[in-house]
Amino acid sequence: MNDLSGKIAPGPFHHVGTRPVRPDGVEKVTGKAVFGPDFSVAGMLYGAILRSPHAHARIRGIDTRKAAALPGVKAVVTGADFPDLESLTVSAGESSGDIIHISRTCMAHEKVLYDGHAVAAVAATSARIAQEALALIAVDYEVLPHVLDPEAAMRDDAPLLHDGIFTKGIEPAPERPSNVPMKVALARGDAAAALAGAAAVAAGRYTTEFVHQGYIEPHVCVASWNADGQAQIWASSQGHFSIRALTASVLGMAQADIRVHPLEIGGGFGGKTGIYLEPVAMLLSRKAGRPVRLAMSRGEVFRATGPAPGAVIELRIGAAADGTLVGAEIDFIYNAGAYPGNTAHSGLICALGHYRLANARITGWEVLTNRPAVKAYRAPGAPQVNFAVESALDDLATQLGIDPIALRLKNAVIPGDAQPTGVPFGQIGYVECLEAARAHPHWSAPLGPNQGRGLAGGLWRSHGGPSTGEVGLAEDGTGLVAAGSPDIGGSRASMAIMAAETLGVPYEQVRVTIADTHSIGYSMVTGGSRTTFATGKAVIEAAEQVIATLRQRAAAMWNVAADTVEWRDGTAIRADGERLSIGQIAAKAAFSGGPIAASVGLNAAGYLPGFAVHICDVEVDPETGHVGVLRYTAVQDVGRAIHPAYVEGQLQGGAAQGIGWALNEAYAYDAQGRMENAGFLDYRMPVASDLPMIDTVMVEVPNPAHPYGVKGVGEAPIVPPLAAVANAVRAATGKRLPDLPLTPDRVHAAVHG
Amino acid sequence: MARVVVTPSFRVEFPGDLAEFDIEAATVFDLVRRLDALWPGAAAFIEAKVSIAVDGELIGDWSTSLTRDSEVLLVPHIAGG
Repeated sequence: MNDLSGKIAPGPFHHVGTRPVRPDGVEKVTGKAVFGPDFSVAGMLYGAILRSPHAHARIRGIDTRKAAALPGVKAVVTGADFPDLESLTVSAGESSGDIIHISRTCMAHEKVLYDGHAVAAVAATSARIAQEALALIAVDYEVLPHVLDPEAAMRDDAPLLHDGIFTKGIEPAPERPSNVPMKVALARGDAAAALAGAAAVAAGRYTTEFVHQGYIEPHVCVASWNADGQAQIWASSQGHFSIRALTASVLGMAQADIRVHPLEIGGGFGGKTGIYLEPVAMLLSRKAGRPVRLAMSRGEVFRATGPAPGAVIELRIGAAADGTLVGAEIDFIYNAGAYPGNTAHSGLICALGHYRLANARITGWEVLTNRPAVKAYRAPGAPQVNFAVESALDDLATQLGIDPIALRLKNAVIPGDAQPTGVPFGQIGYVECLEAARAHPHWSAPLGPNQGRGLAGGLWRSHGGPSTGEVGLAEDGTGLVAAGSPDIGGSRASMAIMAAETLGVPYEQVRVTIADTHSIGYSMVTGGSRTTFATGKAVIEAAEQVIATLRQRAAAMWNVAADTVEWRDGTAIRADGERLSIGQIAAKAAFSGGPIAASVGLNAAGYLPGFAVHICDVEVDPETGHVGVLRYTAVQDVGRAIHPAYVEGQLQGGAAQGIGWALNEAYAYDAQGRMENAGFLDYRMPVASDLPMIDTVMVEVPNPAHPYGVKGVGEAPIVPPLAAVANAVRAATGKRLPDLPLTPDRVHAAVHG
Repeated sequence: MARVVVTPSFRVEFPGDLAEFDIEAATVFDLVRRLDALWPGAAAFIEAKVSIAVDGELIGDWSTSLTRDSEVLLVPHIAGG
């Protein structure tokens, strides 16, 4: 057996590091997999939501009588149907929020705060009738002035979104409410003095826009709330336990009364860690006495769900003549939309977290505006400030005449260095990533006219947290794994690999199910780059417990002591060499103590940050300003890749999304504060024809806190691309473009300006 | 007497006199109970928003013992995507 207690298995491995076909692959490529929009139940009604056309307005009244009277309409819900709640900070996915804000995001009560804010909902016997009913609802709005720009929202005379939000983090505590929930700050040493004495200082003001996660599958759920108070919800999400907890809190229910069934998920990237539809569908279902389906259109996804915050970042970074960073001052503003978003903390921690820097002052402001409340998007809060920092580092390298990788290597954090939180880094691999980038042929390949190469590095903290994993044996000895973490990036394959490796059986002998909330213990959301690490640990520990039971059962069958039985390659081995296979032991389980299964719940600590270094080549068309990405390489410390193909996929996906952030994507609003590009035709994400094949380099610095050395990999790859692309454009044009996205008109103006 | 340090970036969320302080506590559970007595609501707040590191290591088990020399860091949960 593989004894994994408290140390990393050294290998060689039978399964870890291999690339088997994913167990859910056939169902997905043949169209059989049941995603959220595919799901239906008998007697189901069709719901629809009326959304505000105004960016900011007081709701003076809602008249739903005509809608309720329309034949086929079975229920109508408004904010008045939601329970009154006391303010309470609750866990929301991996983040947290006030339960009142979470409830108001599902349905506005007194005011609408953005174009697309839900104001009423209906359930009817057909989708067409539901839409007709929406048109019959009369909402009396008092339209209020709105504000979209975060710097404008900080002014004293800005339209105020909330009467009860007072800025935390400033002295003296303010007596007037404002649109600024929080100022956060981090300071060490004397940044101003260090900058005054620096040999070179790079300074700039950078901006980024609201960008959406761009998952393919819109939000959808089916809810059925019975007269006895028990309910079921079917939804695709990043965490069905999170749906259960938040829906129960918003509706004042016991969690055991809500059973949430996970469906296949078509992407989330952080955007499906919370709730939007579920409490509304529940209330409609209770009123109608039937199951209700609510599904967003693409336009609703853009207008009413949470994107990543836009940002304004001003900074100065100084270095000595040899490239040693000596000081930095960073001020950033994150536009959180309608409700506090909790991304400022990670901006603070990730801004300079990958460099040793004795003197730094970082100040972050979270600001509310009349846009949908932001939500997590892959490494939430990190890419924006990283864009500014890594752009400035490139400028410093240019000023000092130092190779960009050499400059970063000179200052890169190493194990034992303190993180900005004060917790020392464990076995991290930023230096190894930089060295791998320098050694890659891409870094030294020749470039043509109008072409440029950029590089950037970055980190994401990753997470561990609570997870449950179960391993059981069928009567023939094949393995059944259950996990409470939705499979977004191939985790069923990685769980099967880790269970098979531990048990010593073929990969195909282990099948994995994502269990519903009534069928397995609590598991935190699939987010924070945590699932393969944390849920994987739970599955491995459960497999170890199953092995211990198998040894006992074999010993009982042989009438020898259990400690004389070894476990190797899926087989119990007696001291004299006699063997019993896992199938032979399982077949006799009923006669040796009963079924063989184990369940492990744990709170996984020991997670380590992921570090990434990206290299990007672009070609700029001087006539049109179009930026084409010619070549792209993503290097990352992945700990140890359980299923390398899916790890590479994470690196490629993060890079592709980051390239879109850099070149194309932005929310556009009209003068009334209405979103103008709420669809993929006008909100331009990269498509396959826009991008080259993204090369990946997996650097493996194993994590000692995981039996197979796993580190989270899903978020770090979206951190460096913004600056990698911008640095490449600077190299191609000689111009620093500080405002994202780098659209052709901006690039053309810079080149010819 | 454990030394408790609230990460500077996170002090905005805590009452001013609880930014850095010494406190008698046998375990992290005990520490959180005592913090809740000093600052009513602290326990719920910490459960929702805080990660705890003891002597340089993030811990998931609040039965972790604290000694006279323990340093406890309270750092923000960081949302993930």
